[in-house]
Amino acid sequence: MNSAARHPGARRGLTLVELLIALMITAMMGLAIGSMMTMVGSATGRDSVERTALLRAHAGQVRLRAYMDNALSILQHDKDTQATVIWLYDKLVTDSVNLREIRLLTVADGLVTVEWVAFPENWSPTMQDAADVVLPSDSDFIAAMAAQRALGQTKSTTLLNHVQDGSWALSAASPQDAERARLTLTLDAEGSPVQALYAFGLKDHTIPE
Amino acid sequence: MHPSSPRSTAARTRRGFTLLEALFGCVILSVTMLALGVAVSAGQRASIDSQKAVLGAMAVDDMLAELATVPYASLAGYHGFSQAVGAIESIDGDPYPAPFWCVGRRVAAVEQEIDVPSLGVKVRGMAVIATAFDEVRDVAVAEVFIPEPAE
Repeated sequence: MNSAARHPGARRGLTLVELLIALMITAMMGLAIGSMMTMVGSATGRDSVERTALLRAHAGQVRLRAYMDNALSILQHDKDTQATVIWLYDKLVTDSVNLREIRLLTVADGLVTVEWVAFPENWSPTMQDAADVVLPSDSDFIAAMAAQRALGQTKSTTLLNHVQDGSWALSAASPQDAERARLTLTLDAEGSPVQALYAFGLKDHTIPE
Repeated sequence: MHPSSPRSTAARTRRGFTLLEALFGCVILSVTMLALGVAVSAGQRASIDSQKAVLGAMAVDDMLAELATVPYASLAGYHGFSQAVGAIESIDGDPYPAPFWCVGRRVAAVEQEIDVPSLGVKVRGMAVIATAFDEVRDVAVAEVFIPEPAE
């Protein structure tokens, strides 16, 4: 006499085979759902990294645009170092470039930076204006900025970080004739680089004397 | 009277799932998997849409910046200018990198007169509208008014 017969009201449990099959099906389902969730998580993580890189690229574009679209001219561009000097405004002597009117844009050490001449604050306005010399249009503006840097008379700020590399392309052979410029950047996005291109237009383009 | 045998009692207690129970199980599993799939798909679509919006905004800003250097007399020639999805390039012909391949852009340039009653002046110029789009819809629009230069 079996147990069911001995206890007519009792419910029969699962046999070992049934239990094993049920466990196997549950394990397979769990594995399938788990691997799907892992794939989705990985894809979402990658999307999130790319989205963050794109938002950074957009922020960099807005910051650079404040300089490039308002610049009067691209004074100098060094193809080797990708250093670019722009003439941001013409305040002191009309149509002439003064030291404080230029900005040096560099793509180096993972950063896009802008540097400008800032004389000591304890100098009087007269002293500052006297030191703010006119630079001829064929000057080595990059060297002029380096000289001021050596004297501790420059300031700089970072426009964009986590940059792997960048290169400029100008709309004319001579930088001072270029009305448009493009900057192609490769941004580091946790191992998967994201490329961006910024196009700028110098709407108030002026060739310095 | 025939007393029930042990075999027939055991057969009665070995009851499997009914068809209805099995169907309920299948329906619940399907609905759960479907909901999961829809949620994942919607999340990915939202992520792609937000990326397109950022790329579109960058592309239209670039277009307006470049058009600002075009002589006023030539601006009208850009009305109807269009670059297909995946084929956008700068005015000087530099192709945009891979992330921008999901958007295209077009330009509308229409003459406009802006009345400024407080100053008593009317300014004639060109409204330049740049629109970025994907295969389905517009993802970003930007507009700038370029006044007609004085003679």
